[in-house]
Amino acid sequence: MKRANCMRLSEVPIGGKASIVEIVLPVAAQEYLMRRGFVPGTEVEVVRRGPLKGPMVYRIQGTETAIRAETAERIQVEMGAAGDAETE
Amino acid sequence: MKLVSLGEGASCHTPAAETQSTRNGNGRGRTIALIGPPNSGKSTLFNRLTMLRQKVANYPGVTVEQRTGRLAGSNGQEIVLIDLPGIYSLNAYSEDEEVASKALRGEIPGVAKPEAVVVVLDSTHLERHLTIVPPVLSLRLPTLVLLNMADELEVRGGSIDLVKLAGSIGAPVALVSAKKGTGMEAVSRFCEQPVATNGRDALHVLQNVPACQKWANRVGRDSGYRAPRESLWTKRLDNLLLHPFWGPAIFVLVVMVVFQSVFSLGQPLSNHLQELLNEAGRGLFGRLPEGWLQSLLLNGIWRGLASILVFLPQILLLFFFIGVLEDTGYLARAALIADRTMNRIGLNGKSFVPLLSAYACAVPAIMATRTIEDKRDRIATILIAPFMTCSARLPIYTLVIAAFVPERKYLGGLFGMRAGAMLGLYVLGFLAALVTASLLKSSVLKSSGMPFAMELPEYRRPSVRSLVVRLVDRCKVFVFNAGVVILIVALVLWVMTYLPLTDGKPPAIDESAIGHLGRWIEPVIRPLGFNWKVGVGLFTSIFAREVIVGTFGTIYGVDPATRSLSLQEALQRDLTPAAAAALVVFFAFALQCTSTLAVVRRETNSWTWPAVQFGYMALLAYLGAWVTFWGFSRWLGG
Repeated sequence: MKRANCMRLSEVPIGGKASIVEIVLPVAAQEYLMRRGFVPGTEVEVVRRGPLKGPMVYRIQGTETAIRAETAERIQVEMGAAGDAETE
Repeated sequence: MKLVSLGEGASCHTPAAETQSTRNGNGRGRTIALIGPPNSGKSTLFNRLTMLRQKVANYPGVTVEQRTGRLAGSNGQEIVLIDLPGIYSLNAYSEDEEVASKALRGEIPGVAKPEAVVVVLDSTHLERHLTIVPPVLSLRLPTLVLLNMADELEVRGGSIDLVKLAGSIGAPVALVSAKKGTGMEAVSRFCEQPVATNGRDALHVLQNVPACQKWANRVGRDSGYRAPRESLWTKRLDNLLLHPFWGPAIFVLVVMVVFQSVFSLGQPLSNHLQELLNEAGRGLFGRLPEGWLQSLLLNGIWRGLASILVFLPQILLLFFFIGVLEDTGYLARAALIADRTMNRIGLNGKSFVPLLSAYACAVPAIMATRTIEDKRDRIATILIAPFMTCSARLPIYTLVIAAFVPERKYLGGLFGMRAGAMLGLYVLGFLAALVTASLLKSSVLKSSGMPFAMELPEYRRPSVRSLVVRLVDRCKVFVFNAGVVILIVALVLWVMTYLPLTDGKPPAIDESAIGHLGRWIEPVIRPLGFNWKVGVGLFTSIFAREVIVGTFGTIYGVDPATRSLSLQEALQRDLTPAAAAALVVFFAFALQCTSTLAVVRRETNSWTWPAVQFGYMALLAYLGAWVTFWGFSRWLGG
């Protein structure tokens, strides 16, 4: 499933959508994020950046969740495959 | 009627459920557990169902609150509802999940095994929230699935086929609004007569998040779930409240309002209440013949009770604001804005509001740390909160500064030396908190490695009912849990000032047990420039910081050498300026507050943390005062 348009969640521009591929973190942390909606195969939309260089806000299945950029860097996503191809 | 049960053919009545539902009248009613993800409105539902018939305690050995409420069934039977902590799964990764999972299995001593479960989900986030259902169904207890926030689902154009949903889940389903109170009859009916659940294919779902999510998506699809439109209000408000410039500006404004209210409204209210209670105490016990009984009632018990009650205005105010901020959804945004700053000292954004309110009073602040999800961050916040300069330090600060710091103005009156000294003490406490936080977070409370993830719920109008229940609840927790410790310390202090009797009369303070204690400790505090009188003050102020001013008043009042002087003059005569500086530094660091200790014990559910905290802060206070005394002596002396 690895494709060329695979990137980190932190690199997806605001307003962009991508599909989660995998979380590159220890199992407990993966589990923690998955319970908050960051499940591989799910679509994520980048909503906004928190003020004062704060955490990023993502929308998954209608729920907005904020995580820090350092965490978003550890989430591999692929763009364009999730249906809403806003770039094409 | 919104309850949708399974069709006759689909349900397979287990005999266990039949016998359970007839078991009552043995004094303990049926127990039913409420479970659901955070932000599902579970507590609102619990508050609506049980109102003020609630009891709050800690689960044994952990810091998770155990909340139970009573509900009267229509046929007079009593139903006990357990409100379990808000969780996303039963996998026992966190303390909350472990407690919920054990409570559902009846594995917690003293907590009855629930006979049925009510799962509360937010119907506007159905597919996310359904993931908790398979693990709950696997317990094979009669289960009712509530889709909460039905009003919002409808307004925003979402819909669901309840019959199909009940069919695919294999459990009865009801659409309710805990805030509006719609659909409550379905809940009562289930509580009175739990229906056995077959759970069917949910039982075959693997107990991991991706599998549960897949199941939830399929169930949502099969039951024609149409997700509601995005909340326009939330989007508009977030555009403003999380705006790069206006967001932080409004944040500062909100925070100032909260702080100002707790500080400048709570403090006078507390003082008035104190005066009122003193007055009432004199009225109640003043007519009794003078003697030990009057003194015990008035100076022991009544004073103890009064010092518990005076905290209530500040607790009420802070929890009113926190309640409003949390229920509207702004608290999560505030935590988001504060996160980067707090991250620098190893904490997260959720510690900000509690730490700020500790500047008014550490007691409600420590109670407010319950909103911090990560246990280590929570304990670190609790441990550093008392370093913030609370209002109880101001009497001794003001007294010493007025007595020892000359009022010189600099920069054309813009900057005064006394104000500077006061500011310095605030900064000192803040720095101690920073250093302590960094120390803690790099050692015993090293981050658990869990990333910081925070849900931003939709903005909602807070429910007055829920707010009132919560305020009453917090006051009860403080009075009944912390109050006992405060009362005991008050009584011990009373005994120590009242004994030993000479000719049946209580001694003057310097001859009392506490006076002797002050003399006994004098060699230890001499290096700080303190004499036995300060020693007595340090002991009495273990109860509360402001008590030292009254103690000084009493001691210098009976001493012939200082009797005719004002308290300021007496201090000037008795202490060197270096010792005075050491005294305020000591108070900046030391945990001279029984109420704080009692609340820390309650919130951490152990005596270890308050003991460690008291010891650490006392050590820091001693060293700080010693360095100050030494430094000032050289500086002023040389």
